[in-house]
Amino acid sequence: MSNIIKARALRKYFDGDRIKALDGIDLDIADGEFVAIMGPSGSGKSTLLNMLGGLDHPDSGCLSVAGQDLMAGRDLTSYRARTVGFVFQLHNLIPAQTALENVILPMFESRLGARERRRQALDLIELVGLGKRAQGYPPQLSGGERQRVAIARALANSPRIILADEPTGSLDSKSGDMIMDLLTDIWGEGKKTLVIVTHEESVGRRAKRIVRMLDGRVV
Amino acid sequence: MLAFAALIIKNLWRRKSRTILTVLGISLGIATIVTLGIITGGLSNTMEKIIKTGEADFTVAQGDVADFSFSSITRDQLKEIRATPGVKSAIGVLLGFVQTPKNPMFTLFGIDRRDIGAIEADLTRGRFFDDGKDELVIGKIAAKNLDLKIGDTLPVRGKNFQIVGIFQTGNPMQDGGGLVPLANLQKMDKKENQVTMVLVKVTDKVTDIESFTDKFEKKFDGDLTTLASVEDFSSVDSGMEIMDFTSTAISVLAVVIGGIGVMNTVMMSVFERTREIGILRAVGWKKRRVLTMILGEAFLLGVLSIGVGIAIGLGVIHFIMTYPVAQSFLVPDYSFKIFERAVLVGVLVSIGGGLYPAWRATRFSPAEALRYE
Repeated sequence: MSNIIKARALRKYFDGDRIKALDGIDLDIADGEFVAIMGPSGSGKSTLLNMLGGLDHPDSGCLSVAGQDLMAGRDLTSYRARTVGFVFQLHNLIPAQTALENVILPMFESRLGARERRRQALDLIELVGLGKRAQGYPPQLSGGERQRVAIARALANSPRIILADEPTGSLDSKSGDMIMDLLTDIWGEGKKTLVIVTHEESVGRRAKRIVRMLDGRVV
Repeated sequence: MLAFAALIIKNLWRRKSRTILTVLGISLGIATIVTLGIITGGLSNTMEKIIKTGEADFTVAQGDVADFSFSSITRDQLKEIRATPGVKSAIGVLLGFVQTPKNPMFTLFGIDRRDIGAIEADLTRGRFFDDGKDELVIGKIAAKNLDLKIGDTLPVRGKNFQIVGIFQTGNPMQDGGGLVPLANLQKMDKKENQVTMVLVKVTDKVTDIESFTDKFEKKFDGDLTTLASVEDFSSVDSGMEIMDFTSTAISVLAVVIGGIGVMNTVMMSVFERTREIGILRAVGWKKRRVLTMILGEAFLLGVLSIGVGIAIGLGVIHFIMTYPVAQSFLVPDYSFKIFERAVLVGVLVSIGGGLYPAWRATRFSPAEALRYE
């Protein structure tokens, strides 16, 4: 299977070059793979995920995702909209928007008409088991429900890669398990690549491969 | 598009009190512009009608006076005007301002009985005065406001003028005042042999009024000035100019204050929503869409302010017009250009005030914005 993510000698320094968040990362992830990136706090795993998601630019090295060179310094907005879907530790939903409206947000940049956007978003809300809560606002939903909405939002625009940063980090273990079940099901059915950053061993064990990091390096 | 517009509306409505206060702040500026515009326009129309009373081609007043009401033209000068080649008729009118119980500035027009026809006053009731008698033909608006009818008397400077008729010309200053015999007003105001203004009609031979008035002014060596339109009015009355200047200055201030208000509100909202903007960028929103959203919010503030501002402005005018003194000077001028100005100010204020916060919102790095607490 071909590699969808290829990173070579990836470096990202903060505060001048005092903090070496990424210090020469080499990583290949195959198309359709389910990988967990694990490591203690400050090991650079979230920074790496931000690079893979086009939220931040590496200082040096090579990074190509789904055939796109992420080092070219171009605006990665379209990449973020089409190629990757993000699930954050904190659900990061917009509180003034309903669950359904939050799922529609990424579709604003697509060419879909309003009706089609709504239909697709409703399908995604159904998929994550929240059909009856589509019109609920985030503050009215439980932590697990919010994270489900966040997963539905990550699936909008049908991205090839799902990136999840500590998706169970702010949930109790039962809700965390349900979220992991959902993510694993989506990965299994949708032929998507799933990259999860976690420091929880139980979450990591669900992945088909674990990449461990320490002090900005893969170990 | 509709969903995007709904998002913008929702964003504004999330902070109701702040939105309402901002709209109120900007709309007060717009209301002032509308109110002053309508009053200035109305006064300007009134003055234009005074100058063109009875379809006069132009009005003559004393040159270099600070206020039109101070103008004084002598009987000799009036004779000279009448004798000027090209002048068909010249009617002297003396203005007198008196206080009445309900109107602190009641305007009296002193005119000779034989000249009344020339000012095209329609007698709606009664008759015109007889020269030499303390008789008054009252304007329709004044009659209503002062609750006067034929047979009543109006005390003017210690004399009781009997009301013998009611007239109307369509000019609020005339309809809000009264016509009295010229000689009586001259005597009462100790202005014997003087008039304030002379209404001039030219003969058919005069085709170019402008060159005629130029020659006319030269003939009187600057002692007299001619008013052919309201623009000429500034030469004898700085009041209109002051009003115009005030109106412009307030518009500029409204734009600046309103702009800062919008900028403050939108800037606060952008900073408070740093994380949200980070989310929108993370899920693939282009900078342009973020910019459009923030500018849209600012623009909506402007649109609301235009609506509220115009409503307040019209309300103030409605209130002002309940006063007799306003009715006797002013017919509100609801011309398109006043509302155009209000809309322009509202749009300028909102877009101008929204540009910087919107630009700032696009500068957030998605990763940093997401870390923002």
